[in-house]
Amino acid sequence: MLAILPQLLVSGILIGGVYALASVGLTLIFGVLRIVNFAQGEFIMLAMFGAFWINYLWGIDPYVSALAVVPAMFLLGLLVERFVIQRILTAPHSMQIFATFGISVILQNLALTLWGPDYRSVTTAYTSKAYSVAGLSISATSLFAFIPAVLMAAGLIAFLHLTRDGRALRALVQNRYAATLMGVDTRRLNQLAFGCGIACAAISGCILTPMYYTFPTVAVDLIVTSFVVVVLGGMGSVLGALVGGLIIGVAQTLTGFYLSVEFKDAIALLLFIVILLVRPQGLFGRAGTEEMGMK
Amino acid sequence: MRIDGLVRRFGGLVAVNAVTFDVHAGEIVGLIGPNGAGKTTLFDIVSGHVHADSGRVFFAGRDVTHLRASECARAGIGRTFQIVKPLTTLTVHENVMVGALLHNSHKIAGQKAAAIIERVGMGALLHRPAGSLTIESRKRLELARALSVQPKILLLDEILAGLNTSEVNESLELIRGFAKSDGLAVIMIEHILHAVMSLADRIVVLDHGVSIAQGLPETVVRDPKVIAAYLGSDEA
Amino acid sequence: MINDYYLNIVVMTFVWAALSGSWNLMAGYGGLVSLGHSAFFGIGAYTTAVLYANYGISPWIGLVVGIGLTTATAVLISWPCFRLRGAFFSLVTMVFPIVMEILANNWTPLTRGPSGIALPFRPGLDNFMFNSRWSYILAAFALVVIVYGTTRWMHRGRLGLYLIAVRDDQHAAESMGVHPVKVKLLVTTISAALTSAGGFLYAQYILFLDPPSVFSINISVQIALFSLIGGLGTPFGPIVGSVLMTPLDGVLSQFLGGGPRLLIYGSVLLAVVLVAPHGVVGAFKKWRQT
Repeated sequence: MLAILPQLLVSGILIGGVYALASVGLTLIFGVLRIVNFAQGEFIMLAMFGAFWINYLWGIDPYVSALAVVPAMFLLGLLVERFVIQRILTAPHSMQIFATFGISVILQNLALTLWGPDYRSVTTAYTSKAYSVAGLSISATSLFAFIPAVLMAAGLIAFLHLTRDGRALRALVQNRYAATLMGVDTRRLNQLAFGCGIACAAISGCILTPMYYTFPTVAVDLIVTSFVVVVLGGMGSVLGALVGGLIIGVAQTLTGFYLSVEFKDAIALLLFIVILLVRPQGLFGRAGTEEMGMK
Repeated sequence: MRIDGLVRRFGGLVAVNAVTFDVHAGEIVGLIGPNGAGKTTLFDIVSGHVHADSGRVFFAGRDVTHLRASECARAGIGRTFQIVKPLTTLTVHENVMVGALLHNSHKIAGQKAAAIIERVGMGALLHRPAGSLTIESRKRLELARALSVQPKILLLDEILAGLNTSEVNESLELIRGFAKSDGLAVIMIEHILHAVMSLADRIVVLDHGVSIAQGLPETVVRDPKVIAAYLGSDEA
Repeated sequence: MINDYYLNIVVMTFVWAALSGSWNLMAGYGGLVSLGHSAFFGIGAYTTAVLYANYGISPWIGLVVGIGLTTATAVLISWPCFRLRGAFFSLVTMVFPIVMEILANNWTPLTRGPSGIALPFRPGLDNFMFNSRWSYILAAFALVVIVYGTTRWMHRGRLGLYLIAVRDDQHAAESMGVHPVKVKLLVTTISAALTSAGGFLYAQYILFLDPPSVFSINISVQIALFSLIGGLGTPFGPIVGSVLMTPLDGVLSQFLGGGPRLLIYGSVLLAVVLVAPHGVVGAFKKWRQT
């Protein structure tokens, strides 16, 4: 039983990268804007469809189509920020929830209306491919998801620490009020943060397309896991999203094997509740602790 | 009320360091000291919003140290907040009713709330939404709300800040009335020193969490430790 | 037969008004936006259906057991989550109906799984089943009255004031003697109980349920939408919203499938949030003041 452990760990880590991918945007948006984007999963879904259609119509590989999809979705993010998010930043919490929840309903059903509920898939040259390394089997798609996930997280972290805008964003995450007092242009940074958050979703979508089925309600599968990852890692922390994703990935893989397949889904939920009860700020979180209900 | 050796740390910082003093019914104690001296933290502990690491608070014959905020209110501890917290969805009347409901039925609470509002001079604003009030009115509202729980002690946190001279004088009269006529004990955190000096029966001076002087206003204000503490900070 | 169609709309309007009104208690006053209220609805519906169809137990008992079960689960799930604010609380509530749907699909001996339960139609007051739609209209209307009455009683009564105080500023509320967890528990219990009763009514009326029809997110969306449109946090709001939207929904469902309809509702939801967050009742009040 233990012999298979390394394989499980590797698979878990790889899938964890995928989860991290899906969660980074969410944590960034919350960190800067203090808004939980209920529609994050739906933006991922949109990107998946974008990649799917580009592949279907012109045979372009999803990873390549990211070059078109990601900028397009970044712009979409800016639009949403301008016309929706900006207007609800000062609204009561319940209205903020309804707004992003409303967007998620709109996007989901837009997809349903346009493309129907059927499951689509994209098959590429490496879809079923697996590499054998040191006696372990590594699926190509997982690997190709993991590497960009880490790169993206690393890139974001670098951006946040090294560039002026990035540092300003971090300041906003840590203490919004103080940052505004120091003359940070919150409006522009809000736009940037939200746009980046959606761009992250777009990257995830493109990378997920070869791995998953593409269908309008795919977000429902992802949403629980991404929120668990974000809460575990700490809202507002990109590193947290990465680490959280890996932990959840490993936890799920181990539970799925040693306990049962149904438990695989339940473990994420269980962890969610446990974290919220025991350490709501997560592993690395400092941002938004007031929003999370802690003193 | 007797505050006995209260200590509270935040990480490496000792915000409140073995503070001890007492307040009697009808007495007004001024709590002064430079910014960051731990005064509001002290209030937070007494009113049940923050735990004390050690020390006790005795009030009306009981140990109220570990009571949570709602229980402290029930025990008769009323407080205002430095950063005003109006309940913006509700009217002035409803704001005060929330506290009045603690010891009264809905109908009586409504009457008592109206009476309190009248007494603090906000009668005309009875049905105004709390979110639309000026800062002076919001401060009055804080006071009215603190009174609504039928307190035996009032913890007033910078209730005079942001008011002009006539408003300050009105408030001072009000507070004096509550202490002397109603027999409430009052602890006032204030930065407007002349106001506190004229009103308070006694002064407690806090600096970096430590009580460095206690006594009559005239005595305390001449205490070299107190002067040093203030000169050492950016307050004149 | 045309008459029957309209009567059906009336029944459903009242049922939705009652459901939305129950949700409104938590969300509109307590600021506890539940995005998973369909779970309470479904538990209420399934309890009565399972007891009646499997064991022949009177639906009246099913109603009481359903309410008990629903409130117990509501308390269990929500209590640890009250410390969470806003969106995080809502997140947890979203998960709940998903779990319930999985349970209903898999606990086949009890719930008959994905094929659902059909309630044998034996009309009579003892079975809470009626030949005439008018009886159902009466029952649904009674529930609406109960929900409305509860909301009115709460509106600026003790519980309502306490809830709003906690929602507006928890520290301030506590300093006035309000116990946040207690009041949140109370409103959640009431809300869950009333929603469960709505589920019971639905089961007795439609006489068929399966997991997707009662645990679907669409129910949660519509419940929220109707209250928002009518006026969140007001006693009349959910009723107004339901009266406006249920007939419309009936008409739309003749021409449009679920996807397009939800698309419209989602857009309306967003529009209301951005343009008229106080709903019809709020707009009416403002108009009256000018």
